[in-house]
Amino acid sequence: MKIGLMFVNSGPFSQPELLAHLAVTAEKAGVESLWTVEHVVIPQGYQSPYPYSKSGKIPGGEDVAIPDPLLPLSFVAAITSKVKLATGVMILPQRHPIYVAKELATLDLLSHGRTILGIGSGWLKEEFDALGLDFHQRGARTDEAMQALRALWNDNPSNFHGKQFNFGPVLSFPKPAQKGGVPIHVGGHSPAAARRAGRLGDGFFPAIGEIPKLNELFGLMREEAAKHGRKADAIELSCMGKASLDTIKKFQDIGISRIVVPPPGFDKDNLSRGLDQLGNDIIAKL
Amino acid sequence: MKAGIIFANSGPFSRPELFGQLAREAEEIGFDSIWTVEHVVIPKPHMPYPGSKDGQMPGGDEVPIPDPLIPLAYAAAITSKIKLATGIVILPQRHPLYLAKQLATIDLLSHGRMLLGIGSGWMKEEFEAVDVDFHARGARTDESIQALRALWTENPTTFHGKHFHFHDVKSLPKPAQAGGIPIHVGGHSPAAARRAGRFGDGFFPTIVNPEKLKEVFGLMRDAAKEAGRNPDAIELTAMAPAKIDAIKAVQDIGVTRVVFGPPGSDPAKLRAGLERIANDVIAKI
Repeated sequence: MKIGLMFVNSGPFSQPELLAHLAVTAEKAGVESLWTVEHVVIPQGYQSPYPYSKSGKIPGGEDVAIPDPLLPLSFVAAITSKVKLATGVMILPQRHPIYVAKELATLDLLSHGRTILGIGSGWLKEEFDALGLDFHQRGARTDEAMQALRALWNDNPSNFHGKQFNFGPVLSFPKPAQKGGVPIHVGGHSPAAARRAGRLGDGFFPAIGEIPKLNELFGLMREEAAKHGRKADAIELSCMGKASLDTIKKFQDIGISRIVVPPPGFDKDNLSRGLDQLGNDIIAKL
Repeated sequence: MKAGIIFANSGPFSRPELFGQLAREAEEIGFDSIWTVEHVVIPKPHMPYPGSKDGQMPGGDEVPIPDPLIPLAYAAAITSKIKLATGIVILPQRHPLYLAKQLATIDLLSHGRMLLGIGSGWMKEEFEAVDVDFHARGARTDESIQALRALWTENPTTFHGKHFHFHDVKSLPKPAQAGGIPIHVGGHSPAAARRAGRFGDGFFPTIVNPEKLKEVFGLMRDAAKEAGRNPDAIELTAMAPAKIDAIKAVQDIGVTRVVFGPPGSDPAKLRAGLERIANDVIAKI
């Protein structure tokens, strides 16, 4: 079982000293991956419900600092050597895949192949509006963008002719360090996300921890994978949850190979203590 | 005279070892800035490159040109003084909501060392690949500059233009630099000169001929005065060969920073090459 840390770019981790401390200490403790979150803007007074809390509002309020999800990973790449650098998630349909492909290839090269692209299709309609994008096309744009990214990472020249994105022949260099491109993990816990993971994902990452719900989603994912002639067992499963030896066993039993947890503190001392504990009491015993 | 190194991200400098070495050594030797270049893709075929006689891109169409921002965040982690600059980002191809946040992030990670060099682009086929109207590039560039500044200094931010349109959005974090990240307008067309005069914190024509430079600086100054701005407050950067005479010639017309390509890509010789520029040329100006 691999243990990852979530939210490593937001709130107090937008400051470089704390981010650097988190990254270096986490790597030493045996944390496998660091995950960043994204909202490019938060529209004031938004009404779309946040899907991960009962209140329906983004944790930290509308004025929480949410830096770009990729640049902090590049900063971390320079001061670490093993820990994986992941987005969890990037809102894929809001960006053009030609840019995302180049950004991820650059990060993958600078980190010697340590990146994972976690993607979501977005939920905050007002954020799409601010960008002048059609919220209702987000599913179709996500599917196309995933395929366009793979064409840009693997083909030379690259072509993609879809309804949402249409380009080629184009040259996109450098290519990622990882052969076959950067693995794409589909985030979210909707049926649509589960089916997308089955159809197109290298991984599936519902950011929840309830076993029955996870089982249901994994079932949907497997059905869809089979329908498309893909091997469901090759799709890596991650979830959010509590990293205790008991829960880890339960997650393992349903096929999960990575648990992502929030940082165990928001200042240097608490982080050091919490990561030390995580390393000694959990990771060392896996 | 300040000195910078341009093309810091492309070709062999796409590798982290060589890029990291360049950033560290340039800082140690006293260069004030490193500058990254951008083409997000090279379509086949494409318009002739305006910077060379044969229309070919330096290094050819398959030369690696990494993203211009990601390497600067990497450099932020291993340096502490050197400025991190783009030279240039093709501004109208990107959405200012994304760029504002990306640059604020680098500025925060680097304690206020970000400098944004922008251009309006020249390769029509590149615009087509990312689905942006090439003929609107000037208008998009102007709007984008204003949108970026609004996003960096106001909370919430509202911007109503023809190309970009958003209302009461929160873009946080803000950059470390109070007032936002300085924007230097690149290019040597009359349009670029006028844009620098109207909107720029700096002007960066990537040409070396002092007569031609004088001409575009004149256009820039006229446009600044017309817009009620002080042209002397607009910082002037130029490319120049690493020669004392050539640099003195651009200094005489107001240039305060010159940028050079990296002195080769052999890791064993990089430091010596950088020292040669610093000690034999810049130190003698």
